[in-house]
Amino acid sequence: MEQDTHSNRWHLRDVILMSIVAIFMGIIFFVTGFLYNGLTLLLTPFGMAPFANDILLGLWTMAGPLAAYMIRKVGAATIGEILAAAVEAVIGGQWGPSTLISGFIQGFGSELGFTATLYRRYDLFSLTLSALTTTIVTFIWDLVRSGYGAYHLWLIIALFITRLLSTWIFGALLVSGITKLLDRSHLLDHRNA
Amino acid sequence: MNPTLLLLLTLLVGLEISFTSVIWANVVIIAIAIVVMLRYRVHWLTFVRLLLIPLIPAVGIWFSIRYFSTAHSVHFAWVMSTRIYAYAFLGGLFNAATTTNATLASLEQNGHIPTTFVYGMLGAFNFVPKIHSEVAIIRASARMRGVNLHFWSPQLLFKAIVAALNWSENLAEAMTSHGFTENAQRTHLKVLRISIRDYVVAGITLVVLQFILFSHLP
Repeated sequence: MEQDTHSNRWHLRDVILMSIVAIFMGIIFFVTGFLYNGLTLLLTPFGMAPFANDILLGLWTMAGPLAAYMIRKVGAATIGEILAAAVEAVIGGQWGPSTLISGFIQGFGSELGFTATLYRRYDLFSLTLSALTTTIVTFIWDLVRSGYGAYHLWLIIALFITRLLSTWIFGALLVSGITKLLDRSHLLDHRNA
Repeated sequence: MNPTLLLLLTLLVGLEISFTSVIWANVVIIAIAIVVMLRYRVHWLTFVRLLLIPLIPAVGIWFSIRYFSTAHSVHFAWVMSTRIYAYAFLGGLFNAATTTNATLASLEQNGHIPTTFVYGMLGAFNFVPKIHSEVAIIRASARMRGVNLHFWSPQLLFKAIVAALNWSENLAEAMTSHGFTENAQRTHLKVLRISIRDYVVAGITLVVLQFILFSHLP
């Protein structure tokens, strides 16, 4: 494990930063809850309700790659996503503590993408890789938890592609858009020096 | 019950019902949660919310399992619907039984989570009202310039992160100057312990759950 440039310890300001960012996203995405219910309602008559989850999943998994990019430590994506899940559970998410399990799995999934580049690359490439690993890991989990394993193969494949697109658009494209603005502002420079 | 133990217990129960498909287990969990919540005198509106919010996903998954699963299984459709309700009521039970502060305090003392995380999160939660108004300010000032920021706009999140960067530096410095040392040994005014009774209750719960899960009930 490389520890040449800076330490892997989480400092108070990192924890506070990620928690506040998570609360921000929680409030901005509070709309997502309504979107999810609305989409589910719309898709239910066709029996296609699970697509609501997969279309929006990218929004819920954004905290991981964002944390990885901003904090750049081993475990940043996992811890960032768990923090976001804890915040969601506290400020009134409908799933309570089980959000923490999803948070861990989503964060671990995002983490693998950055692990694959040995925590050296922080750009659209590693974000894309992270979107791919997030999709694979969370999808395996949903095969069990959300009963995806019981569906016909064509539906499973369609759900997988939907989820991959969603995590890529939100977790890679949108996060990369945000981080480009951050890079231009040079606000993170002294933190990652 | 001690919040750390309760958290572990609800997580374990949640995990187990994710990997098994027994309708009765879900129903019993929901019933127990309702009894516990009644004991804590939870407001009736909370019950209404807990019943209504999962309704859409529960009905949605019922239909998709019924029509698009390979077995078209009615049983599995009910498993998934009741599972969604069981998750929601486990959350309701946890929220009724403890508070955020008590849980974080217990996680520090009983769960041995590093104090940096516990107090960092506690500090951040105090910003919730400020964050609400900051989001409103960012969107309003953009609208004054004729720009409409949606939740998918990078600018909105960027501005939020800039505010978070400022606040986190300030709060971390403020806490340090008030004597907070990262992960230092702390003394506690209120020492929290997990009582034997809590262990017994948690143990019985798990044993009963295994009994329900593995006795060939539907």
